[in-house]
Amino acid sequence: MSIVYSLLELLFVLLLSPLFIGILNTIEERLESKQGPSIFQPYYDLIKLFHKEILVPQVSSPIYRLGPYVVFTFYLFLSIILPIITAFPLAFAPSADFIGGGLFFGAAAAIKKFSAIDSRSNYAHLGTSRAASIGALSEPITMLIFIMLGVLSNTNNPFVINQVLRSSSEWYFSLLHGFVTIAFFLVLIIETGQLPIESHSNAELGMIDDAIPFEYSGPDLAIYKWGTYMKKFILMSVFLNVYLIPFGVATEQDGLLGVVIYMGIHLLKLTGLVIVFALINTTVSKFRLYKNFDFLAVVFALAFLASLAYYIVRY
Amino acid sequence: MNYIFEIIGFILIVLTLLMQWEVYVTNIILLFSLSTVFVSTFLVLLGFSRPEGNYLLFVLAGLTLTIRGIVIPVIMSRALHRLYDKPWRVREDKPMMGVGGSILVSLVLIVLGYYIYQNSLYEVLKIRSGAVPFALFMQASLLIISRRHAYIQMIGFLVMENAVVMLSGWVFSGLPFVVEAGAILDLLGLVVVSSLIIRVREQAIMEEGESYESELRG
Amino acid sequence: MNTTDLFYLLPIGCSVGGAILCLIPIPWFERIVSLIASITAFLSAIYILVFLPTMTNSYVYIDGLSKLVLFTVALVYVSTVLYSLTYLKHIKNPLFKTRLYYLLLNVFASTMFFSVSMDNIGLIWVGIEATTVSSALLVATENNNATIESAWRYVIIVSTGLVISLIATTFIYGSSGTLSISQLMIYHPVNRVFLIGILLAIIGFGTKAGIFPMHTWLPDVHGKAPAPVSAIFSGVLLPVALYAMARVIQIYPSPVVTTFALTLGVLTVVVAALMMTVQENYKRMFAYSSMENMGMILIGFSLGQGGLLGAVIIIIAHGLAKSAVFFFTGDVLSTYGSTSMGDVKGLLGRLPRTAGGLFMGAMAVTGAPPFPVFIGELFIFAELIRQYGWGIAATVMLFLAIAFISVNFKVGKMIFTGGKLYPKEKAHKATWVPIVNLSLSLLSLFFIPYFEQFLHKFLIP
Repeated sequence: MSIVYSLLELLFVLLLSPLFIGILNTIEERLESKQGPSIFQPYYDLIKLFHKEILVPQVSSPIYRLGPYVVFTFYLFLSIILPIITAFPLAFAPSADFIGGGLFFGAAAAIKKFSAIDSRSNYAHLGTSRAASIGALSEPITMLIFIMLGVLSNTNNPFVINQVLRSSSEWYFSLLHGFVTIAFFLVLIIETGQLPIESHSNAELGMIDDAIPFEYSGPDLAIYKWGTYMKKFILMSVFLNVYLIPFGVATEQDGLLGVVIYMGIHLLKLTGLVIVFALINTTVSKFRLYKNFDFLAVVFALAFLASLAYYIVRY
Repeated sequence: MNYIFEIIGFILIVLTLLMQWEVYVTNIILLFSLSTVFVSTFLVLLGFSRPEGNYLLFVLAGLTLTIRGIVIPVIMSRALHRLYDKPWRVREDKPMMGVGGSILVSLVLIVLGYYIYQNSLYEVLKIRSGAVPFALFMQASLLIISRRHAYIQMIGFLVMENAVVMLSGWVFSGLPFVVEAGAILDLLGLVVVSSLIIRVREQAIMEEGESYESELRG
Repeated sequence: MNTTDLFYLLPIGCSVGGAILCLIPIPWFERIVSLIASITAFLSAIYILVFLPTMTNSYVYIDGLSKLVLFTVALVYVSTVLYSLTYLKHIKNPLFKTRLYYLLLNVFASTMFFSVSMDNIGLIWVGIEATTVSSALLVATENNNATIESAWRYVIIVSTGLVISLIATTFIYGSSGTLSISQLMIYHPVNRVFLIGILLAIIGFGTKAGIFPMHTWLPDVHGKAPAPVSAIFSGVLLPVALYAMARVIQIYPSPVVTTFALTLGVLTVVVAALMMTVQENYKRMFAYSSMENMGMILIGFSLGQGGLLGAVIIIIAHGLAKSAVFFFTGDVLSTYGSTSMGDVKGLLGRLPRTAGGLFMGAMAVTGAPPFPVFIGELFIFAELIRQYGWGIAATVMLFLAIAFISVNFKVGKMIFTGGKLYPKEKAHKATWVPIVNLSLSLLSLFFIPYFEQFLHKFLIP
């Protein structure tokens, strides 16, 4: 039975992740009093890209072509081990705990960068070096956030953490949880590439993540983009399900119907988060490049203060 | 009540951390004003939690809010407006450490303050959460030491006073009213006098730079 | 509080009244008013000293120690006002008008009277913080960059130290439930929170008094402030902060507290003596000499008994002599225009009265006999040897000797070399004020038995 759930979760992430990026873009445009694209535009883009031809630079090696597919596989794997539609661990969930999940994200980012550098393009190098320097600081912060939330339940299991936060209001309203949630929200801004870290234009002055797939074309680019959409979807779902609103996630007793109902509720939660992102994107302006590191210092300080709050309050 | 104290204490630490992040002086003054609002909220809640209805605490909270939260920031921004022609652009021109470095150093100081408190004063006072005002005190001293701009040093000193109010309010259930009121009025006088001195000092720094440091050595 | 009690508040009232009357914008009015206010404050201080008994009610705590310090403050206040009458026109670039200067001077004196007479430690703290507020602008009277910078450093360093004192006050209040000195002296609570409070109070008030390691503002301020302001700082502001420390030590006379205070005092003397040898600016040199004397006073307070008597003798004698010395340096500065010792030559020929006074004053403040500073140091050494043996006493004596030699050598170089370089000038109008101060300092030698009578209750072991 849990294999069915795993398959359901996989299809859920696979099919619905471009939708939310489409919703984000449309709401941003509507907030700026423009009409904006339809919310299914990313689907149309992906389908269009599958019909185009692939152009490969002569100087690149096989790593260049393999990169997007490997990354896509990582994200597919992550979508069946993290709590996205269920509150109980599914068939493959014991393969990796929270820290393992974080490490997988890091590995996927590393492979992305290797394959991008392999294209020998200047823009790809630019984006990779910037993303690497920001990533060098944001990956440990992500690790710290995951570990600090693990002290709630003395495990690293996101499902157990979800259960603890759901049942005990003492932990939910504690300082540790507050700090970690705020820190993770800010890391989410960094990882999903929202303002004030990165804007969606192709201007060289500020491109970080948009510059990495500069040389890809055709189905490679489609798989790459789809992987990016899935990463954003998974991270946002983890944020909502484990950190912010752990209530209402389908448990074992609810059965198949409960899980399907929860999938609908989850779509609504994600839409709420996407609206918040759209509001932030239309309000703040982009940071100067070196100011990103000061921002990261503040996020690190917040995550660190979470551990201090734990020691002062609980120990 | 312990819980509210910890929340407000940590909010104050975060606000001071944001003060380390900001480089523009007007924003730092605003952040200080906000943190004073939190301190007077804490005093009001402390007054509510006392069963004997100690209304002096409410008066003290109101006094803190008015003088430290409104009057002093207004005096400082007026002085800024008089001194510079584009006051919203005034910032720390010669930072000693840079923003990221000072945030990390202030984190180290917070941990250090916590350890010093744990090992020395905790056995004496027996209250765990007293480490929070202590850490705030050390962060404020970093603000004073690492910045050259006189307004930021002044704000650092005022944050130190806030930390003392929090410490005395929670760990020792408050100081006598006359002392606290005297402290607040002294502070007002200090800020008025300092804004006069600062005005002349910043003008002198703007004109000449620091050729007089050699006279003040030895 | 009945009417006789109001007499104790009379010095405060006189100086505050003088300050308020200074606001009236009639030319020359502020000087007359300040003069009258300071003389009436002085007369009331003598009245309190001689006629009124020791008194404690819930607001005021006046015993022998407070009366003597009150008297010193009033005397130096009068002499400063008298000297400022003619000195102010020598300041080249004043920051504010003379009316504001006299207003601040009166307010400053009133806050010092306030700090010395109050019973509540918290109110003493408020008074000392108020002295910072009112003296900050006085330091910056002359409007140049270094002066303003030194005034700003003074404000920040002293205010930070006073925040530490505020924490100490909360500890004291929290652990004993009261802040009144009279009650604390009777009950003598003993627990660790109280101890930490007392130690922090010593550190905090020590910042104001110029004790190592918080002394860094002292030479800057004295080097740059005008002469009457330096005189009133060294003469009475530092002893008032030490008065607060003395009260705090008296409340909790445990070995930890006294050893701590003794260590700080010895370190202050050592550092001051060493720094004095390399000075080029005579005002800074005399500032370090003040710091050394404050260290000796702190040693005296921490020893108690005979040391306390020695400390009080030094407070009175040093207050008078050091203010006289700073007045003389004011004369020298206004004549030569430079504060560097290399520029001052041939003082004996140019201003013989000032030269003679400066020479005598330098000997007085560094502890040469027959000036009473020497007698006070003798009392302190006797107590030190009795309680701690010869080792520490010999070290302190060595550093005092180093300070004595360096100060007098440099002063002698200023006065006696140069010969007939400059023609003899007319002495300044107010040079008689420091001469009077210096002779009063010498004359107080004969009043030592009366001081002992005032401090009688502290001297019995």
